[in-house]
Amino acid sequence: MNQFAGLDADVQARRGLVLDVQLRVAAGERVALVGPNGAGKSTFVDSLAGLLPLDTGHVTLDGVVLDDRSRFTPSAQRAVGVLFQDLRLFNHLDARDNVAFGLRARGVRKAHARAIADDWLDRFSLANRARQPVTLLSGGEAQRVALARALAIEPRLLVLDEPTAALDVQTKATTRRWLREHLAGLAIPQLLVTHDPIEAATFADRIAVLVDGRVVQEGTADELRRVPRDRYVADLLGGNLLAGRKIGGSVTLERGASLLVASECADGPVVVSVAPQGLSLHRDRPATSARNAWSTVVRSIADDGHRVRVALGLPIELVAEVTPAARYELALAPGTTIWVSCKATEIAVHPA
Amino acid sequence: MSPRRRAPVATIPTGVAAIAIAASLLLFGLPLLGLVWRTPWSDIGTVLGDEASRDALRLSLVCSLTATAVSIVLGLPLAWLLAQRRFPGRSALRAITTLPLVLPPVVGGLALFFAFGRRGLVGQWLDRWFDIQLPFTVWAAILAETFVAMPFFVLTVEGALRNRDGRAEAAAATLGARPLRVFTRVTLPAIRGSLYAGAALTWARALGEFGATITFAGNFPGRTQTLPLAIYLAFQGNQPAALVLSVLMVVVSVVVIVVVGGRVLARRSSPVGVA
Amino acid sequence: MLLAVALAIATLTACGDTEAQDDGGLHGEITVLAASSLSDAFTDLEAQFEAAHPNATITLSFGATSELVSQIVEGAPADVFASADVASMDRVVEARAATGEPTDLVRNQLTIAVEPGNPLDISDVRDLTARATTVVLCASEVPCGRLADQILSRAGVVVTPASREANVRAALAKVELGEADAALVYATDVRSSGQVDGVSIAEADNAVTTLQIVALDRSAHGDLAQAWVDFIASHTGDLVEEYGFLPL
Repeated sequence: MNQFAGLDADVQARRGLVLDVQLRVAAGERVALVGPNGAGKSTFVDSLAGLLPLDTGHVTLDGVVLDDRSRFTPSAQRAVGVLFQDLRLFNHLDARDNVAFGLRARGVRKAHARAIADDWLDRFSLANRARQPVTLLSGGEAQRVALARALAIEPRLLVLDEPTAALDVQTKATTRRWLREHLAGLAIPQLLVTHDPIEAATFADRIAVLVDGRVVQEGTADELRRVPRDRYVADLLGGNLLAGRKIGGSVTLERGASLLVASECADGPVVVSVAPQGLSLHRDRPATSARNAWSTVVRSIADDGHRVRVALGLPIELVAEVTPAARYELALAPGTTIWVSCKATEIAVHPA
Repeated sequence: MSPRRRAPVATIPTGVAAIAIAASLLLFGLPLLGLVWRTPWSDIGTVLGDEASRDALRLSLVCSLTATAVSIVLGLPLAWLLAQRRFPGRSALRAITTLPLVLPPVVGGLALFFAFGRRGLVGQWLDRWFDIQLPFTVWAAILAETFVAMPFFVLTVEGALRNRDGRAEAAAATLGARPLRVFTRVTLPAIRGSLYAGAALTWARALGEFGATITFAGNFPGRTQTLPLAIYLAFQGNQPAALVLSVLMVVVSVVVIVVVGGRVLARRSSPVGVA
Repeated sequence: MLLAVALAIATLTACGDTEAQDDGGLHGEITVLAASSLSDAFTDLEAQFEAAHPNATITLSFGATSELVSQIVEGAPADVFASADVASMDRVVEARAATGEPTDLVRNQLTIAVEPGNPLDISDVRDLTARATTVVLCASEVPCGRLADQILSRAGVVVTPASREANVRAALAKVELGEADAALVYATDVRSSGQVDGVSIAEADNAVTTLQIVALDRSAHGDLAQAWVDFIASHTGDLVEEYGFLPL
């Protein structure tokens, strides 16, 4: 019927709100579905996992229809691995038997299933935790066990449902880095469902923004930032995110430029975020108290009549937002050379 | 993942504590004390040495344990079914299941006659085709005890199943477990405290069963005369024996409560389930 | 409100009391505990008694004799006791709960209750030994059970009953329900049941029990209690003629 390798979902369901989402995730691709609480993310996850039948639409995985109006493949026969936000480990089993659970359910003999589980735990640096009751694991360890459990069944689709929402800030960063590392090279479609734009931007190749049950915009993080098609997208994802390394009071960015910051965050790899409204544009070198100031060239301008988003060029590729009045005052146009300034306090630093 | 902490329980007002203690001592402790006070302890050897007494104890244990086992085997599917969100006829099914809790046991015994007796709905065919007569047999005693005690298991377990939010079950399903496996490997371990509690209640009820048993199974030493029946009949004649048997009954019940119930209560106070 | 009701009741009672003056002082309420075999007879006689003594109220409570004895010995508030046998009455006397010597009333004997039409053609206690015959007897602890044991041993037969029922009514009910083929019960029970047939036990094998009545020690209306005892003792002819008891 449909030979697309990966997930092809057209999910329409009514569960309080009306969910109407079309989304494709190719094998090996990472897509983030980002949206506020109540946007319908959980319903979408349930539809993919086979926990909730569709009203209309379809879910197709590697060309096989899992759900449409005429058939419904129950969860147990789907091979959709889900890392649940609340993990849902089985508290009466140890870490190894949690990981072996799916294999046992698939008829793998106990000894073999446990051997495979031990392999996974070993790969996730949890070999010494295999016999621990899962209630005694730390938050990060428990999450790795849950991921190992989801991957052990060799799923055809991996869904990560708010994987860091329950973790503290420091563990969040470690976990994100760890997830990126261990999921790199996984040749199945990977879908991250999150309310956190930073998580979406740092994890995914492509982002779909879900608001009130519909995808309002879809594209790379950069595309969404430069041309947000919706106020919500602008607010949620319009922020500038830059990877770098923090040393003392400054962050050295990937292209070599650096920004002065005012943050108590520990030194090391970080992501800095700057709101587009936090950047000031000037015709001439500014005489402000702002610690960061540099000159650059305007790359492009997106103007929807209410707000103007100005994409800036090297040395730091950022998007600034100004009012239409300011646009004319500054005579902004692609190619114009201008000065940019930014207070250190406008720059948020997140551990990466 | 760490066990949930419980909010510290507010201190109980002294007056309330006093009422609680007074109530339990007066209502439960005092009759027990009276029983012990009136028991002719010098007769204890004679009565317990009597074969009829030992038969009654043995029968009580055999019948009540068998009734508990049957209640678990039949009650678990029933509890599972009743705990479903909704299906046609569920309230009717629950009403039928709950009925033995409300019905006087004697009525239950009569009803069993009309179903399984020689002239009963099913019993007449059992008699005619297979020459099986249930009344007045040990099977009748077990059936009567199961009839009266099984609702305790079903309702306890159904309550526990209803309290499940289904999240761990959903996770198990995504891992490839079919409904029966999800139930046996995820749900049941998570509610094991309630399973023990339900089984203990069922056993206790079956052990003390009197009315339905004496009606449907009759009273014959060594075959259907369980301890409660032996006590009742002893009271008609040999009262000292009745008192000794009563004390024996109390001891057996206390063992059930302490050994099983105590463990269950300890388990239940710690959160059971999937975080 | 409550007070008003209480006053009203007090007033009514007072009116009753004034009218009771013309009836030789027989007034008040007594409780009579009686063997269940006496239930039909006593219920009818109660109506007669109360018609003759409009200010006296008799409350009848029937049960298995042995159970009633236990209640009396434990201090149940009762005024008169009518027993199905002498052994049970003796326990009441031993417990010093009776006022003097019990009065013999009538006698009763066992009969074989069988299903209507006597399908198994039972004619004698010796027929009860057949393995295929489901027999219920009263338990040895209760009067009808003791009587059954006497009869069977006198006849020299060993019957393995399906059950030894706690009282004669329960034994009879098993035959009425069709769950037992035969039961040894009082002839009076068969007569009042109407749902079973009776097969008489040969005179040589049969044993009889004597029913007794006595006023109880703790009665607050000793005169009324004794009046009921005397009334019953003077109506034993009715018990024999209308309810199937044997004369002394």
